Amino acid sequence: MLGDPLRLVQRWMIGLVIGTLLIASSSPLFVRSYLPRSFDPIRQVWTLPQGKVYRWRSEGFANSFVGPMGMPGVRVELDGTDNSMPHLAFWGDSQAEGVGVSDDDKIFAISERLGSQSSRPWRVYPLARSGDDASDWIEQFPRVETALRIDAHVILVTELLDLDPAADFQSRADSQTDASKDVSRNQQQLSAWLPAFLLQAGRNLLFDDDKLRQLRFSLGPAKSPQPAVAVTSEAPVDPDSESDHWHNVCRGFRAHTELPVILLYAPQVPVIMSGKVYRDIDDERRYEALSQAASDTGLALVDLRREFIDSARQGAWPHGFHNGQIGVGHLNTIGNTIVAKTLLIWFQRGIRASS
Amino acid sequence: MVFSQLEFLLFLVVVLAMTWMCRTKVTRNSYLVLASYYFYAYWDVRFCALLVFSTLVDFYVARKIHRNDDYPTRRRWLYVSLASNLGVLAFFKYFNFFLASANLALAPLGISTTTLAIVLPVGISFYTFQTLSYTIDVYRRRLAPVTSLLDFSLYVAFFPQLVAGPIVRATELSPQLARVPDFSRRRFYGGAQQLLRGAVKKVLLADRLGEAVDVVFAGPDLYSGWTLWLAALAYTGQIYYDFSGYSDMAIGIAKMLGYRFPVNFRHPYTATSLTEFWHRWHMTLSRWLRDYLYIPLGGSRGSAAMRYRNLLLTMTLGGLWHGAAWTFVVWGLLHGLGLVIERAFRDLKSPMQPLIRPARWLVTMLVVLVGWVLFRSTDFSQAGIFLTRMFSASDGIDWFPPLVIGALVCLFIEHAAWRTRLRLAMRLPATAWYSPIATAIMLWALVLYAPQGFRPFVYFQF
Repeated sequence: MLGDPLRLVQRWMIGLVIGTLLIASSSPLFVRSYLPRSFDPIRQVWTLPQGKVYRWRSEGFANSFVGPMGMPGVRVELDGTDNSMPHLAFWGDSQAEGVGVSDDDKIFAISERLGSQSSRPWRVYPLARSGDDASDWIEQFPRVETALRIDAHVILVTELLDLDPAADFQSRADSQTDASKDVSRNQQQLSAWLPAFLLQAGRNLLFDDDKLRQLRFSLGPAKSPQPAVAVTSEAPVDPDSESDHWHNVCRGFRAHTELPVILLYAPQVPVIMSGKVYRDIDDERRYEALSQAASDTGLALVDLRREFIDSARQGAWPHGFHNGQIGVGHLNTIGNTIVAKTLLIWFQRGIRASS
Repeated sequence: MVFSQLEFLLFLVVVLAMTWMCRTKVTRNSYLVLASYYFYAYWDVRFCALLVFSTLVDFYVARKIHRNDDYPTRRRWLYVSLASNLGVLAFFKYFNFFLASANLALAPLGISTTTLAIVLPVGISFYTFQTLSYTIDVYRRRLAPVTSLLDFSLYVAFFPQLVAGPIVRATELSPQLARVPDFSRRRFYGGAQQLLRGAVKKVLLADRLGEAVDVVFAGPDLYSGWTLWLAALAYTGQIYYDFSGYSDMAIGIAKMLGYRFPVNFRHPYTATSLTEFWHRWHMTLSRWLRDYLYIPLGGSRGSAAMRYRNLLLTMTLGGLWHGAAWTFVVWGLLHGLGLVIERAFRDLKSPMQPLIRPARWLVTMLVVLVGWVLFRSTDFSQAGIFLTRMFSASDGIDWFPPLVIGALVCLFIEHAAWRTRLRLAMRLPATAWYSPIATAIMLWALVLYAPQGFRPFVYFQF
């Protein structure tokens, strides 16, 4: 017998609420945050809202304080008149954004720390956003150069594909700017008002691999989905065209800034796939063509592959986390340190050469 | 259709509602047969024909056996059932295995054969064993044949146990199918709780452990000895939570429909001997092998050598039942050898027998762990690399996923708690104050913390 039904129902209602509250209160330990984006008037793009804390949990475990202009990890007020040290704008995608590591371990923070320990301190502004590519960076170059008194642009390139939009980049029409992009009102309101665990639950139920979940009730065998078409660069394959393409890419950068541009080539190598270690994921000929084009157009190209591979050989893998997979995924603290150190060494060499 | 799919949840809601609306046995069983065939056809409608074939053969053969008093005739009909059931199993599951093995043996002579592109029908090992047990029981006069083809069709195809057990015998299920069960709120609640518990085991624990297991087993030469130990333990947890989670879900669904299935797992990692382990792990298979293989081979009768031979044969064939690969055969052999050694110590009344309990547990778990590495490996080379590096504390990538460690802590606590008074509390009685809280936490956790992507049950491949 289950006893008095009414009392039982009451007890269950109360218990279910308590259970939900326990989940809600413990969820920040396990669930990422969903912050409504805010539009930054200087960068003219949607960024994480200033003053908030952004949690990331699935790969790495970190809280990022969102600084001015949506810069994750920046806790200082911006001072555009500060001439005491060089200012670098640091661009890239989620690998450069680094929300999976704590603020002190982000690339910009390590760079500033190493810089202050050396003879030449510098200020590094982390302007990378997840999903950005060359068109986003180029578009923002002129906007931040004055506001932040930028002395050089540093771009963390994790996939050569991300550079392609620079080849034919024109200033975007109003309808294509980030301001007009669909950061939908509903989505914004949901992020602002609903707790993250509810948003996460809804997302898990409604989506499957970021696509709207589709239920199947038809008899099997299920039709296998069409094989995904590999996303490849549309860059041509013959050497001359390849060279032309990369010259166009570099000219694209050059056309939108007169400041030095440093491309840090940091692909996800070495990477572990199906139990094997791969040390090369991009076509070497493409890299060589880019290297030549960068040299011809006055862009600096710094290759981090050797440093990453050597580090992994010594057991310190630059990508991946214990709660993800070592050797796969985003840059971890080791990887960020390698990037920051390489950047510092490159600058010190440059300074020595120019003096 | 898989129990952990959202589609299945909706299917189950409809089936439960419709089933309890059926007033007569015929409508109820007809409806459940239809639902069960839909459940199977959801995977591949073509293989429903195999189910029909298996059902018809054993239904009519059992009747023939029952009607005949003439021993040779009865035996001939039994052979018809054995040949058709084992023939289907041999073709779909073992044809390519035997061909590939023959290829290996004949290659030095310059003879080669090609394998066929055969799809393994889901659950074939389970429903074949189930129908075989029915015919053998009728042959042994332990069971009268089922008179209704509808009831027998439901016995064979009943969806909760169709694809991965528990292997329910006709003596247990067919009397239940012969009448309309009374609805019991208590049983329904118990079933729902067991279904939820199974889902948590499968989705939150087994699948999470499986993510790490897949990565490390794909490249054991990359990882450190400690990480390999963790992966081996993780697989130990994964296979337990995956299969016992499935069994819990199957038993829970059956309960919600008003039927009772036998228990399939009883915290096997508390076992202090391999004998005890097999009394706790996949219990319905263990007793099937005992009753339909070990005992017919001679069982514990005869000389010690004969007993050991019977044990070895039973366990080796049990290994082969799990999968068409030599790694499974050797896994079975390893357990068989372990059981023989245990039996030998017992027979000799050896002074080593009364090892202290923790030491016996440790030795048992070590054998089980090594066995699971073999079981999970795709070939002997992978297993060799894995075990060598594991026991030599090799250098390599140190990877310690915190959620895997957390799931293993759960495994330990669950097994330890089962031996205490918490055992009853873990069933979450409806009237206990903590039950709704724990239920809410489990439901939310399933939605929030389930790993992304679909991962079928491990035992589906068998």
